[in-house]
Amino acid sequence: MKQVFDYIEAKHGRIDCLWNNAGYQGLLKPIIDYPTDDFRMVQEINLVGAFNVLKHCAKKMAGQESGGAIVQSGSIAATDGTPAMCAYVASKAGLHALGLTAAKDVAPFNIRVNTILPGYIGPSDGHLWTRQIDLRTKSGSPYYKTEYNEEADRSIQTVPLKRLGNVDEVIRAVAFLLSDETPYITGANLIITGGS
Amino acid sequence: MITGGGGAFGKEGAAYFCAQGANVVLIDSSQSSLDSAAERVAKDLMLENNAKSPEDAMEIEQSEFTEIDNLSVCTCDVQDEMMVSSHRLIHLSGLII
Repeated sequence: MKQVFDYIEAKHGRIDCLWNNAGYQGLLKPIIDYPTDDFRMVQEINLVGAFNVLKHCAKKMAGQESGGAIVQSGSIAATDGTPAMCAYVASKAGLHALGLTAAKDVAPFNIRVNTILPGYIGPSDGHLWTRQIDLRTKSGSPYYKTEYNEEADRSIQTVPLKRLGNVDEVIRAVAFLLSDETPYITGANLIITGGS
Repeated sequence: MITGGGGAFGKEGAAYFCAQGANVVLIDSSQSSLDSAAERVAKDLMLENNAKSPEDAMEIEQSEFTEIDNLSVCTCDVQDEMMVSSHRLIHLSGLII
């Protein structure tokens, strides 16, 4: 990651915004069947990876008079304790906590750190949503239906707005938190779930 | 800078922020996902500027866009604290340099 930020500095002279978004969902399996190797890999990507990026980015931003803004991609799964996703849930809960402490550590450098917590998001091609529902039906968890349409309907019924969010709605929230419109918001976890 | 730049959020985010005039650097561990993201951004900006072909887009790029309107992609594993696998500069037309 250090090389990336050196490259950005050489090319653009500065970095104003980071969307710390990389992540890996891992398997959907109840915890008693969950492989330790996959659990570890999810933590490495979602938590250690995010830490690496945040650390090197904040180091560069700290040298800029204007500071910077960072948004991390968390998940509502981490506050809900979504079944059959122990690795992902634990990693994102860690990321939320990382954001809270990082916000305090870098505030003296005028760097803000916030985290978004999306819920059910379906892009225009439906891939995120269809894959997620498919994985749930095959997870072996008693909390999910085994038939695709039944599980899709059940999930949507848990959303007060009764619809999926879309990717654009998430991006606009990220842009808002990265923008100059939110100079006094840091250490926040912004829920984007349609009310659930 | 957007990590996970080849995924659904990263790809659409790149298109959004490039359209806003930002210099965007996309990071992903998958080169093919980054290529797909770059194509998506180029396509969006072509539509926005009524370009009918990549050649039109290049013309628009030369006449209307400044150097700040570009997209860089880096293949990189976020678990690796130091190294980048590769980086490339991709202009709005999708032309890879």
